[in-house]
Amino acid sequence: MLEALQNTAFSQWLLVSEWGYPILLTLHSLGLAMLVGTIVMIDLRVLGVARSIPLLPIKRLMTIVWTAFAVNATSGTLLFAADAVKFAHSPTFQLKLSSIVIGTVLAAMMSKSVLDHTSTFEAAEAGAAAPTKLQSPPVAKALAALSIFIWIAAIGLGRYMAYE
Amino acid sequence: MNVHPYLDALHDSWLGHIMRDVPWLFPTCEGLHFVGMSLLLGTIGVIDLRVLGFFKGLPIGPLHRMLPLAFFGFALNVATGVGFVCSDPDSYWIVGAFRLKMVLIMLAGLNALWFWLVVLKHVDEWGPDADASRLAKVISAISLLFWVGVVTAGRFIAFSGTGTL
Repeated sequence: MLEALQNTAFSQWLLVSEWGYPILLTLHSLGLAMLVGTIVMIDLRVLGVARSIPLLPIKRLMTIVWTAFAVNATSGTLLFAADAVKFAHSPTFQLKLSSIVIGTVLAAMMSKSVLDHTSTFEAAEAGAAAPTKLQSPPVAKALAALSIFIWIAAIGLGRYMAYE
Repeated sequence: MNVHPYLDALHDSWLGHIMRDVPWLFPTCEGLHFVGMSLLLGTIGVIDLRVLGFFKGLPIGPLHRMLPLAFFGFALNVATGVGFVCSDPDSYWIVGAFRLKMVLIMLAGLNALWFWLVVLKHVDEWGPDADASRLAKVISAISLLFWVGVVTAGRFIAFSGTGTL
């Protein structure tokens, strides 16, 4: 199946095209910058940096996160198709994909537990009891720190694929 | 102007030597360069988009306090970027995409200076749901354009020239 994928006319064209591959890589880079940059901003806010930024409107930044995610899932799938057999068997690629899955789950958790209940979380930040474990600041901060680490790892692994 | 003595000096610098001789260093710097890019573009992009009128619930003043993150990303990318160039100065110098990227970074920097000089003092006036000034929007639109250009030109470096970059 992987071979069939990389033998499609599109994949064959992508590998040899002068513009196709670099343009897809550029889109993938812009997408990752907006995705990771925005997630790091949200995570840092949860960690207590720039607490003067109200959490409620921060939730809307998740629109950037999911839009950038869609751009990169699409461009990433097309880039994968160009060399499917090599990528599928690369441990670096498998690790990168695992990081992305974990990072995405963390982002969805953060969105549901903190950004959907900003007043609860802000009260907990000020010392009130958190109704659920995920909404308690120490747990949310641990997830935010893990999220930053995971996305930096995903970038590093993605870059390293070029050296395999 | 003959730049080759300078290019040779960069090539023979200690930085040039370690970038070529330590096998894990170049890939590690590449990873860091992308992390820096994310911090720079993510932070500046979110601020620019807010100034342009997206996510208007966010007050611009506090959001603006995230800017040190962009400076950190920029510093990381200058450091790693100088390392890349020192590893093989001649190859970078002849690539049009590299030159374009340097020009775009300078233009983006001047544009940021313009933002700093005329817009910064107003950011605390623009709370939730407030509109930024027309001038601030123009500067932010230019900023987005330049930084997207920087990333695009940067990506094209590897696809031009001698194919060794």
